[in-house]
Amino acid sequence: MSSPATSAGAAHQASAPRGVSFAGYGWRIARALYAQLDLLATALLTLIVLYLYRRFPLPTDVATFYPLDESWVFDTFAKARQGIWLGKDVLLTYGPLFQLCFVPVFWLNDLSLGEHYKLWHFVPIWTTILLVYGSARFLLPQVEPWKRALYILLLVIFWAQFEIKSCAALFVFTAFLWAQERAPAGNRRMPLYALLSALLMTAAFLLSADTGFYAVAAFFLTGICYGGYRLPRRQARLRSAIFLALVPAVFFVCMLSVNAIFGRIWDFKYWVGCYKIVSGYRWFAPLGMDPETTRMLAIGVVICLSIFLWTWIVCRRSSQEPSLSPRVLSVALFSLLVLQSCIVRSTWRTVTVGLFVVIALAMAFLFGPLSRKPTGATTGVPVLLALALTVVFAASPYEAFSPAAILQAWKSSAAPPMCPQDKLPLDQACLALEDFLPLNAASTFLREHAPASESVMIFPYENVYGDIARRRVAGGVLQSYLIADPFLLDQQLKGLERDHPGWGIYSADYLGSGPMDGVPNFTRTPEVWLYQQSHFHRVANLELGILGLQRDEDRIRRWNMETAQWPLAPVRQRVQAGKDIQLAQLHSWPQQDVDFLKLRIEVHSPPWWRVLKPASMTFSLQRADGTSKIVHAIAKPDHPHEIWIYPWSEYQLMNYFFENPSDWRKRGVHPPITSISVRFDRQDWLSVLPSEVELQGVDAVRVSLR
Amino acid sequence: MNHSEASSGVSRQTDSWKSKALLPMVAYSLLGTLLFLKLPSLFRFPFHVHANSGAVVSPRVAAVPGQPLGGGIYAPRPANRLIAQAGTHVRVDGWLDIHDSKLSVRDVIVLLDGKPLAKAYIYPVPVDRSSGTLHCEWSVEPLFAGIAPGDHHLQAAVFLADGSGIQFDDKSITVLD
Repeated sequence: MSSPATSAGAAHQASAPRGVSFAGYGWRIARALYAQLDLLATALLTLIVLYLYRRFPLPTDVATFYPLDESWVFDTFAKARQGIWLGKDVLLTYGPLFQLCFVPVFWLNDLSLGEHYKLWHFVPIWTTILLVYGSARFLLPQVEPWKRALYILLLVIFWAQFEIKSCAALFVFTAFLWAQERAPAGNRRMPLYALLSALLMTAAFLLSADTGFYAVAAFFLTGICYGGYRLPRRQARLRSAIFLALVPAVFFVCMLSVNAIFGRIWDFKYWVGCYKIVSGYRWFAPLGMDPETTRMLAIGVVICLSIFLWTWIVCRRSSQEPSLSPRVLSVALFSLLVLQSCIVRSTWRTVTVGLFVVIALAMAFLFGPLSRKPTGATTGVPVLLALALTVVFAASPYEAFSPAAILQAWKSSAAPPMCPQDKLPLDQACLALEDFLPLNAASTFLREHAPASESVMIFPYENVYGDIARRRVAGGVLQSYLIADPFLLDQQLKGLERDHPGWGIYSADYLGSGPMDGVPNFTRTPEVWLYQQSHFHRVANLELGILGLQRDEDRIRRWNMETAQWPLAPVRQRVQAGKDIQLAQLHSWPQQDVDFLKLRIEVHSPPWWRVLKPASMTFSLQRADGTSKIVHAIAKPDHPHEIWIYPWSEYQLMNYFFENPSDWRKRGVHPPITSISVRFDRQDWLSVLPSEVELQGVDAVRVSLR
Repeated sequence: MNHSEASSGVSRQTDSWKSKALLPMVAYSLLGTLLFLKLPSLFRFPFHVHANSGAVVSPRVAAVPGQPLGGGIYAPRPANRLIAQAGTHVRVDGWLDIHDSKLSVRDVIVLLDGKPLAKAYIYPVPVDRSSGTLHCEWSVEPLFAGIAPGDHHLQAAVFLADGSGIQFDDKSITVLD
């Protein structure tokens, strides 16, 4: 098999002018360079990013501080430096390979907040460039180098989202396509291809759970599509079937090897965690799609599917490229699968991340088969179409590759920059006052109290406090909001017991923290809140809504939780969009000893919620004084679920961290709850409204010290 | 004759080479031009919006050009004023309508007599989107500690990503001892 570069080079050699003596040697060099034009383009992009990386100013000016995102990213890097590996020691959507992608973390003397921004800004761009280059080599092996180089440049400069997960999914899928078009041809090579495929799937899982599942789906999709195409040929059919069976077997061996590296060969904790997180995302983190994102998604999908269809028609009319039919089918099916990423958490960014994979595959058809098939004047039309689509939809280049930005970096002074006047410096980052105050107060508290060898517990998700203080953040799951399953809860609590944090930070909703997607953090992960409340007491008010906590062994021994079940008849009611459904009347039940309500419910939904997303659920608690409390909540459809609600103002939860239990309820009034109702709203056109909601019981919960 | 045939062969090869080079030259020229242009995107954001806005704690951006933003603080009618008790938290609710696609809202801040008191939590409310307006509700429970009893001004202001702030409501609040 000739390499793409050689064949393209040879083609060009034939068309180059000959007999020009002075150019003989030069032409050979030019041909060699031309054959590697895509590699040169990749190297150029990489060097531009390296240059900008080196010129990136520290302290860096932080335009907007996102406590949730900065926390998991910074903590992932910090854990890598501390020798704590995702998957082995702590669970997250990402795995240890993701940490290894940020390898400069290990070269730094000290990982500061500013350095974290620098790495987070540039490493995903490098990774994207390399993965797009790899995908181009797999997708367009036969095309001229200039087209492959243009494909890479357009994708990276104008279309890419610099999201490692999605680019890795694209790379793995294209590798499987390439392997399917070659692997089963010869029996000798099949074991090698099977091993490489299994290693690729393992690497995908070690990068992130989503990528792993996309890799598995990509393997079977390509296998089935190409296998189906080979059905008429017995020999080829048999080889495809063997290949399809061999790869999962080798993959299982890879899984055992990973288990062995992580500790115990038969401990599948990492793989179960991956499954639990990926399968739970649909119901614990759904987010609606706004109209403009919907418009963008619709336009993108229609254009890309049209290109797939066009390719399909062209390949059906031509007998020259027999492998194109299963390729079009695989690409179309994989694109539909990848669009799942757009459906669940439908922010603009998430949708464009998913759509990027589809666009990359569609553009590959424009640069590959479609621009080769027609002859004569129409040959260039698909390539020009790709450029036209870039002008219309992607518009200006990504900032890092804009000549103006590069020139500005060139001209910028080498002297260390100062923070702007309205920003304050903290850990090599320039922060707005409202971001600076909580970060400075909480990190200073931890640095001054927790010894460097000790870990700290942070609730709900601001791990960045611990990272700025250079302290280890305790727990078995990196972010509490991911805990939507008993397995993950168990991992988190075991991690907290293992790490034995001596100090902690509690951030109250609406004051020191924000509820994720409107669901109060107590309602989202009550068990973790109760763990912190039962193990720590308040020692300092650090900022509005942020408490400094200390571990209290006496409190742990004395802590007690009582649950009283109110004798309410189970209720099962039909659901109508936006209509309040009365679930319980609580007039007659004594509530002076109630701290929390625990609603045992089951939401019955049509089965298609598993490919779309559930509607939002909002509880309304009517109080005796005429006021009410609205609580957004989450529950896995078709499963019994406990929803914990603090019936009064969320900030009063801070009082439960007082050392003396008599202070837990003294501030604020607690009017009794008279009734509970619930309503369901579609977040967007992809939300699935439940058919029925069932209240199985209401428990009154009280915490105390014995 | 032979010479003429050979030269015409070279000429044909050169023509072929030129015709093959035409498309790459056009494509790369267009790419080069695009790099220097700052074209507006068809959509609200460029496709490759970078940043860490994947997980949303509170909505920060909204849409549709041509009109300003609007909003207010909810207060009981007919008094149209709020009441707080010194030393306790008071819940303040309000709304924000954003019409301008170019506005990138960073925060809603509640101020007491012109001094920042607390940052509000903003959440979107499902409404008829055909109007093109993003309707948000916001809520905050500031602590009224160290504030002299009597009448004060409670203002709500929105801060945009570019650092500018716009005050959009001003209500009286009576702080009880």
